[in-house]
Amino acid sequence: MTEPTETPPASAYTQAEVYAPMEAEVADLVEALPDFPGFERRSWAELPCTHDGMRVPGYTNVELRYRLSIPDSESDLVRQRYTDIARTRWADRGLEITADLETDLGHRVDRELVAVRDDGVKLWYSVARYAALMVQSGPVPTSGETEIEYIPPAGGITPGGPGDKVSRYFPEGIPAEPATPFESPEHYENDL
Amino acid sequence: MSGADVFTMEPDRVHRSVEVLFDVESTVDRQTEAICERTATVADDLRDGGAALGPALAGAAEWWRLDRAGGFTGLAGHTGEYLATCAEEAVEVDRFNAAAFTAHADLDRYPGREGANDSARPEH
Amino acid sequence: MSEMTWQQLRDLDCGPVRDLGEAWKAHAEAMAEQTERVRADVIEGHLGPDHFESDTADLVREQLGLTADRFDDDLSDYATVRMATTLMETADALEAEQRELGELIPLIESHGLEIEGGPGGYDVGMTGDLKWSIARLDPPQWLCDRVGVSKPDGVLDPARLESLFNAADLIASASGLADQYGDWLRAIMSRAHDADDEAAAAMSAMRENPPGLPPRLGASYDDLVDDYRSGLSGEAAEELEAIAGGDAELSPEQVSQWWEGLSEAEREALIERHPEWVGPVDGIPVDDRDTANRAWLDERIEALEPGEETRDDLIRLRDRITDADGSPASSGETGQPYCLLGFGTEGSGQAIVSIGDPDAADNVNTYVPGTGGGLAGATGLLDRAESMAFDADRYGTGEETATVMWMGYDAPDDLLEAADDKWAREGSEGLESFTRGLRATGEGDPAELTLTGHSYGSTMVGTAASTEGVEADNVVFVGSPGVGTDTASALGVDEDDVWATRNDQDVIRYGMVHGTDPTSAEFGGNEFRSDSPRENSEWWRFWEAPIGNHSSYWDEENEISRRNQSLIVTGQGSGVR
Repeated sequence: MTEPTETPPASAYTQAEVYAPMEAEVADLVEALPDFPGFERRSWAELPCTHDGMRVPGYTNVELRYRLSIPDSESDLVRQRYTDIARTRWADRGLEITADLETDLGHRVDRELVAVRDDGVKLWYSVARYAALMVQSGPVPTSGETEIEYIPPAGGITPGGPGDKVSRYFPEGIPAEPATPFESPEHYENDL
Repeated sequence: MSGADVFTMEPDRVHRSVEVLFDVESTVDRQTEAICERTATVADDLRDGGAALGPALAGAAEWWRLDRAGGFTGLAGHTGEYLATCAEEAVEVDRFNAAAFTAHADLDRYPGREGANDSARPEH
Repeated sequence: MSEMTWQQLRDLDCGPVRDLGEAWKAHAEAMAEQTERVRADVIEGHLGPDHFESDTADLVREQLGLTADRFDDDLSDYATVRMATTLMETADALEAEQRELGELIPLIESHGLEIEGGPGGYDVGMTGDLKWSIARLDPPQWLCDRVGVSKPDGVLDPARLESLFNAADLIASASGLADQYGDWLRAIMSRAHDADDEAAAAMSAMRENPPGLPPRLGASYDDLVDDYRSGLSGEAAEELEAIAGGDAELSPEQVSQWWEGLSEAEREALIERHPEWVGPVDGIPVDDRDTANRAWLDERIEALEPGEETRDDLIRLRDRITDADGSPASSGETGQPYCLLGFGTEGSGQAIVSIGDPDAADNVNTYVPGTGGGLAGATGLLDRAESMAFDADRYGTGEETATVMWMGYDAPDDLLEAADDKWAREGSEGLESFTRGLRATGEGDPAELTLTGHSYGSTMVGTAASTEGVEADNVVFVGSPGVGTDTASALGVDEDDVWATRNDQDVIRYGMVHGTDPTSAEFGGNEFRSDSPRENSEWWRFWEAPIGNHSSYWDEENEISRRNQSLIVTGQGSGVR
């Protein structure tokens, strides 16, 4: 594969570094959600990074995915109120809301709420057949699998349990003593 | 083929087998002829319409008629003639060929079949 | 080679072709009754052991059994699979193109255009009348509407002056429309010729190396029948080898019928002994292909030297779709099984992997990646497919959606290579075959099939659709440098089901080198939103934040685009924004 002629601009994190602040974002929002029923599943995914239509080797876009169960996703609390709370919380932190959509499909009403931090990390609360909270890193340099530390899941998922779908990164099994969870700062003003 | 230690034959039942085989032979031949004629007409229309399928279809149908359906009916007819000869002679015929059928079979029972398998069918 | 002109295609009556296909099918059924007579009335009836018993009697019964079996196989392989299916498939394919012609020709005529270059010509140009109407500053209403000028009303109407000033635009617009119609006509004829040539090849190929017939009873029977019996045992493998090598010229539908015609034991034996032939063949059910491909992948890895790059790529692919205990893995995102539908190491390498079983799915989205894919990038591309599967599950209606990553072509390695359409042309037949295979082996009601092309993958999809024809209910182009044609009409899919999007950042540096921008109104499909990540920013903030530069470097496929794609794939196009 031919290398692109331009060097990608620097990013704030490497892949290994970005999981902790992203997981902290999930914990931060969950803390603000009343009567939170608990997530059903967490997964860590990656999207390829492309420039001018070409895959750029050495970069990846991490996406954390937390989904609620389908029955839980049917309540107004999850579909409407959580969207409103996320909007307020993210806006209050000064994050830029880049998408705020509501679509009536006839059989259900879907909602998309996206906020972006200045370091490029995106927060996405999406309500469709089921509701999901996703956090995207944006393009970050890839890290070796051994560099990636296990971060316990937020929102009621048992670490290493059936709902914790991150085994792809830990083929030897979920570490018994996971890394210290990321301590989210009390405020983000200095980061903005 | 070799002879057998055990030999039982009911010539009439063998003759009836032959009748079935000859009927299968003529039925398949007749219906094959019909479908191939119909195919030739469509193939001509396709050829006139500039379609490559036209000549290929015509060739395929002819091949089917001669080689595959024809091969089957040839075998059915040939085996029928063999059995007809066996039944008439009431013994197994070791060195059977079409001429043996002409020489030994009851041609009154199977009119019009004299020499049917001599040269009219492809050998396989 | 097909020499059908557009006039001949228009005038061809496909009804008798289809009827003949039905007749061959009925003929095969009627003939099978005759082989049944041989078995029931002769072998087990009058010629049964009660009436005729000896070694020779056994031989005769065996010989008749072999004869009936052979004709039954011939009736299935030739009369049904070849003759009947070819005729019916061809009638369907040509009629589909006739319907397109029926739509196109009146459009050409009603716009004062004409097909140029005699019977074999597919260029469309302006008629003398249209040219004259522009020259005398009285263009037709449709052309005025296209250019946005008023239609002159009488000699002294000032609109005539407007026409004079816009004459170049009027000519360019009319020529542009003529070119689009020309593209459409060429696509129709390309697909029609393709269908005709494929049918002719299928008819011709069946005469090549057919299996022999059982020997005749006679002096040499004992010797010949042994050869015949030993030939029978390898017959299915020989047929499969010819199918896999392309020599059999069978369509995926015909392959499907042939595979169904084999006994369970024959199918299992072929998968076990010849996984390299079973795995890649379109028309064999996904489950069997997956089993065969996994076995063949193991064999290939074993055969390569440790440290070879290709071996490492294959191992990465295997690890991704296999659990630690060696059993087939399921996607962590949706719980659907991974199905390996093909892989190869030629050129940049190929990989076809499905998340979910396409044969059992209600919707199938086939994602065709673009530049810089290949085997080395397969697991990364699978990440994107996995996201598509996740999105389809999340935005869907609860129906099963399978997502296929189709890296079945040798994709260009870089931007320079991607300026050439040869990769798309060379891959077209494979993509056509793959989509037809999906249709042939799908269970139950026909699935909603979508083809999604990213970047050069959109050129691949568009080229295959316009030249070979594809089985697709929707086509989606994302970040496209052009799709090999200038009009959605040429794709053989309803224009309402043609979708395209491009992010603001998605600047394809090599531009629209493969045809009109599919997101443009001129192209004639639907454009859907793919909002740039910071669309709500004030413009100056975009440059103010350092991360803005970072974001602007990347082609990002954002949330709205993913949502819209998922709605299309799951049959909820009305919700697309």
